[in-house]
Amino acid sequence: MPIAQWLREHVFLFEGSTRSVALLRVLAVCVAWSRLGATLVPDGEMGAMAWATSMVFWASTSLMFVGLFSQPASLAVGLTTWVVYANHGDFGTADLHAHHVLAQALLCCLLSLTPCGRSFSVDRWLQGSRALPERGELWGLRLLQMQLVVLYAGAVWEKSYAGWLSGDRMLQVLMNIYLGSDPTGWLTQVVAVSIAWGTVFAEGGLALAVLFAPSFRSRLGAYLFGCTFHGLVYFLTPVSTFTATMAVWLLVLLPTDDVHRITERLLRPTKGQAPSTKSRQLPFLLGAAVLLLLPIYGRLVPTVPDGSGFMTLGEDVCEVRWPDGPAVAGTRRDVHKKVCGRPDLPSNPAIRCVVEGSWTDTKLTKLCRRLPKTAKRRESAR
Amino acid sequence: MVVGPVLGQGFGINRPYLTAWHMFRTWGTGTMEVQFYQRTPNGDVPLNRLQLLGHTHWRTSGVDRIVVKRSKVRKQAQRICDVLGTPADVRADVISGTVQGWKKVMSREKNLCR
Amino acid sequence: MRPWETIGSTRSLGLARIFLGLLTYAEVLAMLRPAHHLQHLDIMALSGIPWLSVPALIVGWHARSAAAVTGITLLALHTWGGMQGLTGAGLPWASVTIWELAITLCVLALTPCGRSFSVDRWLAPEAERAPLWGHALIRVHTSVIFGALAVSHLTPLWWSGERLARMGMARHGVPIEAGPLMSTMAVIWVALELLCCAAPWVARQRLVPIGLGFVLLQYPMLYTGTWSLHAAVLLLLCLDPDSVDRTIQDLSPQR
Repeated sequence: MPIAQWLREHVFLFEGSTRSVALLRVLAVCVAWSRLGATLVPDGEMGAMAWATSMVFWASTSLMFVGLFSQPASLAVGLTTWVVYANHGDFGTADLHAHHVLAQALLCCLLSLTPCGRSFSVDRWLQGSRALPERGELWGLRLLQMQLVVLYAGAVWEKSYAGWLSGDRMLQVLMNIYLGSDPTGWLTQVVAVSIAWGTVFAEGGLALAVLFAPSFRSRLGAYLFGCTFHGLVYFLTPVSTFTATMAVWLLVLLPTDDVHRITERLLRPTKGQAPSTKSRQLPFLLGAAVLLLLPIYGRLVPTVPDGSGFMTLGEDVCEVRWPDGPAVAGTRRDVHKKVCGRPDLPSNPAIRCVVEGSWTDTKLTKLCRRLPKTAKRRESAR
Repeated sequence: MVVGPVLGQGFGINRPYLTAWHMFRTWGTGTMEVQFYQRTPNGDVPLNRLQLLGHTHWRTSGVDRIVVKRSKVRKQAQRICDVLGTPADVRADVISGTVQGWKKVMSREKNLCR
Repeated sequence: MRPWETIGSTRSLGLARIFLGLLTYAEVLAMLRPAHHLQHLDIMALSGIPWLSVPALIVGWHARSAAAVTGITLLALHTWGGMQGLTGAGLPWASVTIWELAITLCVLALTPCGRSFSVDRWLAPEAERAPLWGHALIRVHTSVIFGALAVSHLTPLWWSGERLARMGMARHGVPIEAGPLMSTMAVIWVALELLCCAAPWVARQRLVPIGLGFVLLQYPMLYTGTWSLHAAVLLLLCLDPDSVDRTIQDLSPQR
């Protein structure tokens, strides 16, 4: 078959069920929230651009999740994620300039080129009986597949050098995370070489599977293999959300009509035996008693939570005021950053900090004492 | 889609809008492999670094487990010297991880107890 | 009908199972990596279990067992780790968010959560109607969470608006006075918590959306991590399962 005709049939005019891209749409938002949610919570430190990005992100991810204006929402999510990737300095953390954030941006941008709102969406519900059938042109899905091939091929290319293939780089990773700096034995080196070559074959295999796997079974096997491979990386090394992004993205491996068949079977009502009408009064009352007693038990036992909430957030705040200048407030760490080591600021400010529950007047020297290191991840209020 | 990795990974030209797929590129580099020796008239005797630093197992050795700086090699050597007592002659073979493999950092040139 | 006698659709439980599994993955799995627990083999061994049970929970393979195993393991880790004062990946074990998530999973194991949208359904389809006494326990659990929260806010420091002012200062970096505005907000806050406590039982269709808005707004206001989403899933789960089933039918594509 001539190439032009093949491209026409299998790429440009490729049609299929829209359910798989709809599933990708919903799951991609979950990953986006997981990775960028904490970063894009609006706070007083953000500049105007960061605030605007944050607002667009939350609005567009919400729309994308429920499937309202699905395609523009997907594009907006992709673009805001890319803005965060490219301008990571405005959002405070250099680890946002990483491949897993970029992959997330690309996934959402490419999803916007598919009819991802035609299934499992508010868009569809609003159309009611006028809704189009769940089949559409899926050249955007071909782009997603192609990007996946490029991603894995790029990864194989990246690892095709002596340092990796000799196992030295993997040994460095294993030593850094687990083994420490003592010399390793031959067994560890064999393991390192095996893992190094294993990742090259795994990534190459996944690229080939996207292109050439012939049947649903082989593609399902490749999907499960890919999830296991990325899952192992997530288990063994402190990576971020790339595993989740790939678990979602790899869904493009599965033939769309088979995804339709599977979801159809899961949604189809099944007749069965009438449910048992046996009374469950005793287990319910026992369970309810346990649930009601737990917070009370928590008040008596220090290691058990007592159900109270929002008790610690704000118990380390400080406020700095000058007679003729603006006031500065925030957690002790934030105020420390803004005020300490700043000879340009006026002297003799009035400072107070919350110490053991009460506001206490504090001196600048005490405020500016060295603070202990803190966890990188923002601590939740509850 | 294709231009990014070809330019970035093939030709080393990186731009924020052209994506190359670098993963695990530099992670773990800088990790050092350290072997201490005590120089004796009968030759160099390998030392158990973590044991001499007071640990019973590598899993429970905390921050002493990993060395990524020369200064830490010297500090750990000094602690080992204190355990061995004077006059100890402690030397180290140290290699440091790089993208291309390993690079020699120390080859038992000096007595680290001085 | 008494809560322990209700029979209804299992679809809302199936969807909740998936989202609770994803929340558990997001909140907990990273801190259970073996690299973080090299010094404590017992914790490392326990930490390995959710790596298998959470994926099983998400896809719904032996869903009830997966929920029970995950919940019990997290409770064991919380208790055991907390007693030893351990930290995992920089986060303390004594996290009320994880504790409540673990209890939710234990209660979920008492429901037919694997009967819809699951591998269990694919392998052995059953009618998606079952006794929902476990679902009624989830409603109790939701009420207890919000009730305990409201009770903990019955303090002069809260009523004066001082706590809200401090929380606002911590999150938004601006000086906030604890005046009449903060005091009014504090009263409204407790009222909303009590509304969420009542929502699983009274006028569910009206109160649950209000409660949902309240817990979701807390996320940008205070950054509450996965707690807001967990609370949102619980509130949505408290809606009448048959109404949720009808909504899903309406959203489902025409054949």
